[in-house]
Amino acid sequence: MRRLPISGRIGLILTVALLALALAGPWLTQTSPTSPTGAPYAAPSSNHWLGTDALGRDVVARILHGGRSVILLASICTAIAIATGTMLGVIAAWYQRWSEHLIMRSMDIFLAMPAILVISVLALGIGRGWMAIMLATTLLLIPDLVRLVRIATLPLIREDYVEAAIIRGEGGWAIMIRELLPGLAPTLAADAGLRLLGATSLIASASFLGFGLQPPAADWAVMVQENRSGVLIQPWATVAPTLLIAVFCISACWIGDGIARVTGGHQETDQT
Amino acid sequence: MDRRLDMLDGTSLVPVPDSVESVEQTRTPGAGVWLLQRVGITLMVLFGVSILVFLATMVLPGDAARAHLGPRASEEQVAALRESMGLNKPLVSQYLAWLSELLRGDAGNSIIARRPVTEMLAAPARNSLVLGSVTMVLLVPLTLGLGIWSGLRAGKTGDHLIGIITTLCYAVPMFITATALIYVFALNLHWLPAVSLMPSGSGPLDSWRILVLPVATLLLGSSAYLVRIIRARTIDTMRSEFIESSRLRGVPTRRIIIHHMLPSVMPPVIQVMVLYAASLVGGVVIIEAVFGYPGLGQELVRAVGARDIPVVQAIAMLAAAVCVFGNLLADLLVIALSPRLRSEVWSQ
Repeated sequence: MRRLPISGRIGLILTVALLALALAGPWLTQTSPTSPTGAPYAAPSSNHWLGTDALGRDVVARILHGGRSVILLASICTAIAIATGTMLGVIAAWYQRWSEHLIMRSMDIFLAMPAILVISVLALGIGRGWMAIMLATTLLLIPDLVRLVRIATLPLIREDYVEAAIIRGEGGWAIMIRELLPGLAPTLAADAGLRLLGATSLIASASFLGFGLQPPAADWAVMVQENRSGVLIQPWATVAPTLLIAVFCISACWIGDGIARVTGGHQETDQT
Repeated sequence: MDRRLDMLDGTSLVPVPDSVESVEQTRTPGAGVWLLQRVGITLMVLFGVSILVFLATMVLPGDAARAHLGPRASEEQVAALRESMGLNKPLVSQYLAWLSELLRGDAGNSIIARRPVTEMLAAPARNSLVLGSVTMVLLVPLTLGLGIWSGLRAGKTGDHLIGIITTLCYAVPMFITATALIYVFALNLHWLPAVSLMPSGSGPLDSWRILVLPVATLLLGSSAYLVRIIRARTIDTMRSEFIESSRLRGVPTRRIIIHHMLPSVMPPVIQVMVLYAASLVGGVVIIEAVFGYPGLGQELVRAVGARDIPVVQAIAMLAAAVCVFGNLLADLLVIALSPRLRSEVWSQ
């Protein structure tokens, strides 16, 4: 943390702050996010700090309620994907042969379709909503993580302490969990910020296209879609969610770059 | 964004190492066998995608016959249509029927528009192709120029500036960038249209102004990763011995860039570019939705909303085919362009 570059620290603070806002948001307001409380596209006033949206709903209330389905969902997807991807990647590297082939080839199938199309197909199959988006995003994040973890695990297997464990006669699972996982921590830490960025970007885009939460639910990306035609009349209804999504994405990117630079991974991202 | 999203870290895409690895694994057989293997894998992946697309759209809850007839149709009508649509047959034979028709170029009938999907998607596909091609044509010189320029000035102000701008454009989802561009250039300055309205019967090239903002958004969103790769490659090449010796011999910089830099930078860049062309498909979908551009992306969003299953299946398969064959092309290009790998594969 102390060695994290300044942009990485700002990114970390902003990410935590926005996550807290998304999590606690619904408890911070009494105003309903879904029923009209004023005239459509009303300018900011003491009642409506950021004015109202296309249907006369309070923008602040919708902002406070609409973060969960974007950034909280993205964080959950990222966490699940990292856990699953790490497991599959270590298994592929440790057992090699058929399990490796099976895992890597099935990943190829997923990588063959553009992400947004995977989401569309699932949104058609199981219906539009957060389930489809969450499932698709998690599935889409996993293949790259498996590749990354597999490549990072291969040299670890040849380390002395792993060989020692093999000679001690420890089982495959014990070695994978106790010896290999700790060695992967730096790689995964350096990667997490960019995965979070990917997940957020994907979820927000899919929600914007209407594959996610359906109206009248509050969601930052849906707010952009609903209010952008009135952006000249009431800019705040569009600008506020736009800025929040942008700031969250940029902070996630800064965290990723910062950690990558501290751990020395990813030379390409070494850039100010 | 898209294939995508996570390109910044370089490890996720891993195009070059992966291909090198696969080349090394198959070093013993000759070039013909290697080529056949790659084509075989490509077809297998496409086959896998078709199973996934079919399962996801047909098995999960939701009834194509009910969707076709609407909520007011009687149970008997739905049952009769299910029978005539073949929905009561076993899943495997349904799948095989669907696949064989698809291979013969028949993607079925749109449930909503009630006409052949291929006929319905022809014009949108052309429009999307124009959007993608124009972007690609501009992307190559733009990223090469910016990447080499900032690589030559590594650590200076111009390099930092490009780094910051590309990071921002990379991090922010494309629909956000598009919304910002529309706000500034269409609604405030009135320079360009905010919505891609095309008179019926005309193509996007007849009214080029509608292309400017969509293409600009796609360029901003997709140049970041390429610029970074080219920059890193440029820095590496500038440190290499043959450049060093040319410089010591007093060869002018311009000559070094054209005769030594470009040939060395190009092979990996071309491979990544081809991969990018495939990944552009995802970006195009989003951009079309933002600008109301009459392409495949808009058809897709509409079809998902209306549960028009054949249309979604067709677009998904088309997009997957573009991506998969793009990957194959990228692999072939990297072999053809890098002498070391070429001799390894070809000489066996």
